[in-house]
Parts: sequence; C-alpha cells; structure tokens
Amino acid sequence: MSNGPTASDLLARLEAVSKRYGGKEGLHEVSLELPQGQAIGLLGLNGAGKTTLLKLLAGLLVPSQGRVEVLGGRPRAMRAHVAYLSDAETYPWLSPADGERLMQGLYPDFNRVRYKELLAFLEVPARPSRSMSRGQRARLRLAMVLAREARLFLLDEPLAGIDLISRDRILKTLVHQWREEATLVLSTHEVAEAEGIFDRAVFLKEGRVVLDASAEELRARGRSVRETFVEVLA
Amino acid sequence: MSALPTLLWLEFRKSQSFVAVLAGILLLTAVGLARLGANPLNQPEEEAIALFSVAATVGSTLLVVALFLSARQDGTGLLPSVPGGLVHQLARFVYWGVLGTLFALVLTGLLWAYFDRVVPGMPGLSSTMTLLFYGLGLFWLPGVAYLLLAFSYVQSYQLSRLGWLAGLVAFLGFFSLAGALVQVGSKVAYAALPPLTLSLQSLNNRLDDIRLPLEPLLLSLLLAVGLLLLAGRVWDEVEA
Repeated sequence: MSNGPTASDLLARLEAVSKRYGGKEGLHEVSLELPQGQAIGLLGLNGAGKTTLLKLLAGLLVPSQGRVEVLGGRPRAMRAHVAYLSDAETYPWLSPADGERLMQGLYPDFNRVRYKELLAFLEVPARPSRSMSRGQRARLRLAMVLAREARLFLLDEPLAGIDLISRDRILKTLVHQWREEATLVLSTHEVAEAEGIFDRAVFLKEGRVVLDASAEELRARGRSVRETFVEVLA
Repeated sequence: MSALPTLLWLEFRKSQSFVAVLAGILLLTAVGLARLGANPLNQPEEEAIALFSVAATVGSTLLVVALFLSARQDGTGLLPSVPGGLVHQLARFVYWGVLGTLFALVLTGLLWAYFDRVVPGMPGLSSTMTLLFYGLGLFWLPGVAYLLLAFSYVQSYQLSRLGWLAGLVAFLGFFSLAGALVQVGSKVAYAALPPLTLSLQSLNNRLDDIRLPLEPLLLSLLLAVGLLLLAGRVWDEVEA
C-alpha cells in the first residue's frame, strides 16, 4: 500500500466531482488526488468518462457539482502550468516548423531544444499534417505538447493511430522521462500498454471510479492490468 | 498580449490560399481596367464600374467565406490556450479588418487611377480614400465583429433547428439595428461633433463639399467593440 500524498506534493485534486451533459451524466462524484511526480493511467472503455475527467483538470469543462483544484487554484487560471493533449486533429497545413512557431508564441514554457529532440525521437517528418499518416500526426501533436515544461501533463489517448511497436517504445520513454519532473495523466483503452508502466491506475466505468490502485497494490492482487481491467470493467 | 503576433500569424496561415485568390481578383481587375483604357470605343466608364462591382462583390463574399472557414478550423480544439478569449477574437478582428481594408483600398485605388486618366476633374485620391475609410468604419469593422460573434456562437453551441431560427432572426435583426443606429446617428449629426468635411470636385469642375457626420461612425465603432467583447466572452465560456 503506498503512502498517501502530503498537502505539499499534491498537484491536483477532484472532490466529489460530477459532470452532466444535459440529462446524461459524464462523471459521477469522482474524488481523486494527483500527487507530484506520478504517472497515472486512466483506464476505461469508450464513454467511461476519461476525456471528461481530463478536460475538467485542463479547465476546458466546469463541473456540474463538486470542486476541481489544480496547483491550489481554478484549473482555468492554471493553464500556463498544464499541458493538455486532446484527441482532436490538428490544422491540416501544420508542419513541425509551424508547430514550433505556434507553441513558442502561445506558451512561455515551450522548450525548443526539447521539441527538436522529441521530433527526432518520435520520427516526425518535416511536412504538413495533411500529407502525414494518422500516426505521424499523433506524434507531431505529442511532440508539441511534451516540449512544454509544464507541471501537469494531461494526455488523452496520445498514442491512437501509432503502430504497436512504436507505441510501446514511446510510452516507456515518455513515462520514465516525464514523471521525474511532472505529473503525467494518460488516458487509454489499450490496457496492454499500461502493463508495468504506470505508478497508478484509475479504472473508470460509466463515469465512476471503480478502482484506484497503485502498481504495488495491483501486483499484490496477483493480477495483470489486463486481468484487472476485465475483472472490474467487464 | 505577447500572443497577439502569433495569433495574427495563425490567421494568416489558415487563410493563405484565400489571400492568394483575393490578390488574383485584384490582378484581374487591374488587367481588365488596363484593357478598357486601351479601347475607348465603347462606354469604358460603365464597363469599369461593372468590373469594379463584380470584383467588390466576389471579393467581399470570399472574405466572409474565408473568415467562416478560418474560424471553423479552430473548432477542432487543438490546444487549450493560455491567452484569453478576447485576445483570440481581437487577433481575428485585426487580421480580417486589415485584410478587408487592404482589398478595398487597392480595388478603389485601381478604379480611381482609371477614372483619373479618362475623366477630367476627378476628386483627389485623398478625398476618395477618406470616403472609403469612412464607409469601412461604418460597415466593414462592425460587420467583422458581428461575423466573429455569430460564427463563434454557432460553432460553440451547435444550434438546433429552433436555434437556427433564432440565429436567422438575430442575423436579420443586426442589419435593422445597424440601420437604426445610423439613423439615430444621422439625427444627432452635426449637433454633437463637428462633421468630417470633404472637398470633392464634380465633373464640371465646381467644388462641392460633402459633410460626413462623425456620430454614426463612432456608434458603429462602439458597436464593433461591444460585439468583440461578446465574442471573447463566448470563447471563454466554451473553453471553460
């Protein structure tokens, strides 16, 4: 059992947060604490509430009920410290050079050197998005967001469209490198890729947290992430 | 406000192909007017005005379509932005305001240059341009602010059928509102502020003065500011 986070290393917090879209509930009384320096996997089937949860933390949505706090303030006011990668497509004309120009102008914490390293690591071609494959576009968006020196990274299905072999390599590097300096929350419904990578896994089902367990706790259960996923979500 | 240059650049990148088409329209108009000048047998003045009207209509329609398509590209929600909604909308307003103004400026300049060659006693270029800027301030700038608000609203709230009806009423209502503002402005014209006086030379070389009231212009610009503030608020509302 891991020790709970202290007030000083707590980066973000959700307190009994619900989000309703008209009559439909996207999240139901979710409470979570995100400490500094953790890699957290947000796991669930499509429509489980992963994107809603990430958007609430990014300040893109306001909760219908409950409280969301990031770095001690309202998420909207903390955007300068939060890097969010949505699952939306990018501009069709956007090339890696355009990405650099755009990010540098909009985000003071954008690191050009890191961006160039990421472009090389992720093997992003130097051409407009419209002539890239889906996976290459996903890599470009990932490089743009990860090149920020943010305190909290919120990545919504960042590896969608990337081939399986590259995905594993990227994810391992990404998690090991970034959790040293920031908290990483990554949503996925590809449970296989969550195995042995995250410090903690939060399982969502129909807008509710059905299991929130550290890697040690999962190991103590004697089950893999995939088996746990099937057990708690099926 | 340091994000403003980047956002202006973003607007340009999104609309680059449209800018090229607008430049093409101006080039074709210039070529057309030059050919008219070389063939004075018909009624070149009427043909020049017809050419100008076609170029102005196509160009302004294209500008509105380009503004819409450009605004729609941001609907993809690529990245949540640190700058507030007003900065985003201000960048769009400045970019499209300036682009439309430049287009109108060059087009009017071409027509003026043509008439200056073939018609004796044309009004001076500075008077023509003052008149043009007056018209742009009266219609184009509040029009851009209105379009930004309308497009942001439609994109953000995904209007239903009834919403479209309300939107249509609002769209038509805007022109009535603008007309009423101009009327109100005209009624108090010359009363509050000194008018803008332009000396224009008529065809028979007699000097006429045109007095343009400043009140409607100021009301239009105030309307543009109000619409821009609303558009910025819609942006913030939808992002958070």
